[in-house]
Amino acid sequence: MHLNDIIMESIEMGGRYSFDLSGPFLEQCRWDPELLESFHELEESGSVEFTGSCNYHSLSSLYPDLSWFNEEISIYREIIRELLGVTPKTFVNTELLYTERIGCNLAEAGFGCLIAEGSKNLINGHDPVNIFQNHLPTLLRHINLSEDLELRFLEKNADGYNLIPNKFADWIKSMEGDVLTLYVNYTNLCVHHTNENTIVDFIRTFPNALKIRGIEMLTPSEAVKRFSHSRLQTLETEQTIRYGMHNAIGNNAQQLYMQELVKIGEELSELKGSKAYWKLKQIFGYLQQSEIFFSMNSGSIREGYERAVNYFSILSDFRRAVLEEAK
Amino acid sequence: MTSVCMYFQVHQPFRLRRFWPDESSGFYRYFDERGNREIFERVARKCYIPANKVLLNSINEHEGKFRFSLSVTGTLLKQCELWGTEVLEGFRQMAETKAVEFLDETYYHSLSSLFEKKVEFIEEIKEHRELMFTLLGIKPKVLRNTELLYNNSIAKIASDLGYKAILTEGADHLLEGRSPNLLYRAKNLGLPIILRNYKLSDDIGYRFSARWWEGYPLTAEKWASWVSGIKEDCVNIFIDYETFGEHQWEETGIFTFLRELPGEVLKKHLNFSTPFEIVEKYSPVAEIDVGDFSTISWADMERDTSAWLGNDMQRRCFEEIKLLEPFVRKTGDSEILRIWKHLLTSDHYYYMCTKWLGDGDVHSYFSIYPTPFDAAVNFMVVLMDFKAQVFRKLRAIA
Repeated sequence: MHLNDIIMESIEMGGRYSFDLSGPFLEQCRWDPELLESFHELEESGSVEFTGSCNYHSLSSLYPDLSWFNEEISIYREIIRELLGVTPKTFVNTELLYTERIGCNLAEAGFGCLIAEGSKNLINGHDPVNIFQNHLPTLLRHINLSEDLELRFLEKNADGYNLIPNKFADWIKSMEGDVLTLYVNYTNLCVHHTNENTIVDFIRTFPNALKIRGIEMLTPSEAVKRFSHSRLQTLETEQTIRYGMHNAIGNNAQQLYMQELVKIGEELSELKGSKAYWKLKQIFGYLQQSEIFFSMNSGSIREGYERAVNYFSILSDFRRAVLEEAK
Repeated sequence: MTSVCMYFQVHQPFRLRRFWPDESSGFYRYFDERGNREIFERVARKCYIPANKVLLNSINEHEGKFRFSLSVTGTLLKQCELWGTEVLEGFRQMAETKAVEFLDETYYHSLSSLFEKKVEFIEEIKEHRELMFTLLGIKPKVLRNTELLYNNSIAKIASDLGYKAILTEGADHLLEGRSPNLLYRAKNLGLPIILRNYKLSDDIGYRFSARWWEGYPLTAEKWASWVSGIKEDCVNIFIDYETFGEHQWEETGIFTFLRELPGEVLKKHLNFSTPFEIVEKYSPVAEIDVGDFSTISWADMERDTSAWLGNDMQRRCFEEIKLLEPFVRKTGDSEILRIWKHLLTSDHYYYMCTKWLGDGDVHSYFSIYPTPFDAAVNFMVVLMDFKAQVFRKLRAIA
């Protein structure tokens, strides 16, 4: 809430931003009309682009069949139209996941821009500073600079810190290319913000620091229009682009959970038109949240697997409900 | 003259495979055919076949004076039928000597006695009873429940089913200073209870090859002299049959011990009696009262149910299986029922045990999983798949 106010101030100083709000987050915003209103104001400023998202923040883009992924895209379109009155043109997938199949699917779904992870296996040591074209124009997140902003902000002793807008803008100035994509977790900024006021000052003054150096802030859609698109061979890949996926689907429990979701998804699809379908579909959506996957592989194996036992117990009960609904 | 009452527990479970939802179906969609066969064949070679030989020789040599008892689970007998008829033949020969008393238990070495409803427990005992008659032509008179799990309700069922005695652990907290070497009776039933002397049993089962132990090295002569120091009615020695050659390797001298034991015991003017002979010979001296929420067993230091139901994962898996019972029965599908019954086998839950200290060694020794957490997740995933199968079946027959 407070951070939204700061962003607003930053916009007045020439800042332009885009927001990727998850479906469950938007749902929860219904509990806090004031917060929703503040996003609304950001929208009305004209300097903020809201992106499309995989509604339940799930890993459905990795399923053998993309129908649930597409389902989530349309659910999200509906909710963001309802709550903020916008129709997203840019898409950000869960965890910035990308495969060629996903890109192709999103182009067909009508998106004009995609933001994906600037993974090492895509960019091979170069900075991702162009708009890349495969099935649709793609911006790749600059991992290091994004993480500087998001995670290392308060590590004052590290080389180059304390991070101040001028220094950061200098780094960006020194890079050659069209566009640099910084993508950070909003909550992480808030966490830091409660400790220090530096991030607040940073956000307020960063637009000006860039302006002085002749650097403009753009939303993804604006960037796509502004610059030419270049081909990036490595985008034509069925390898999953996103480093650290082992956290999500690296262990046996996670693999099995995914496998079971796929199976249940198929069984649920056959229930279309049945009375309980809508409700079951909604629960199924939440059972797919990627956070569930991550929590099965965090901390010790003990913690992860104890949670997994709980999740499987829940999931098996849900599958029972699906099977019982089928006539 | 004090009696030595020996009973050996013979059991192998059908272990689960590392589950992945593939195209396989039936029993072996969940259970590991090859793995179980390999383990069975190894244990048969190292333990069952040589131990059967030693015991049969001793029976002949001592002309009926060496007597003991065996409790063989249904799952082990099934494995004998599938993969080791030589082992089964050994049991048959023992049955013919009349010197070996076979006991009844649940077919599946299961935890069904811990259900509130005892339908399944009773059914499993009957299944075992039938199998004993079919395979060995025997009608057991004494019951021992899985891992010596015991409470008043279990005793009631044993009594109702016509058993003449039941076996359980001589746990300290149960006896409160009383001796395990006497016969007791179940509360309000009069059913005789034979209690395990855990000290003298564990001297063989656990400590036989322990170099840190002051009793090491244990000889049959030494052990028999300890037993002869007891002047009460009966010394009840209950141990895993796998002690001979599997838990204690041949190299430790365990077979020499087993070979010499009957002679040494008889030399000390002790006699061997089987459980049924014990209840004919002696009278219960006092009542034993174990409430359903204080169930005892022979496992671990706690001598309770915590080896199988001690942590949340175990309890949850057990609850899930329990809740599934009416649905499984409703399918009327014998294969589904058979799978469900095998999921009640206590070993699955034992693998999930997280009591590291003291008994942790024993648990990890017996486990096929790298950690109890793997065991729990694997079980739960099997359960999830199986549950779906049950409800698909119910839908199909609706």
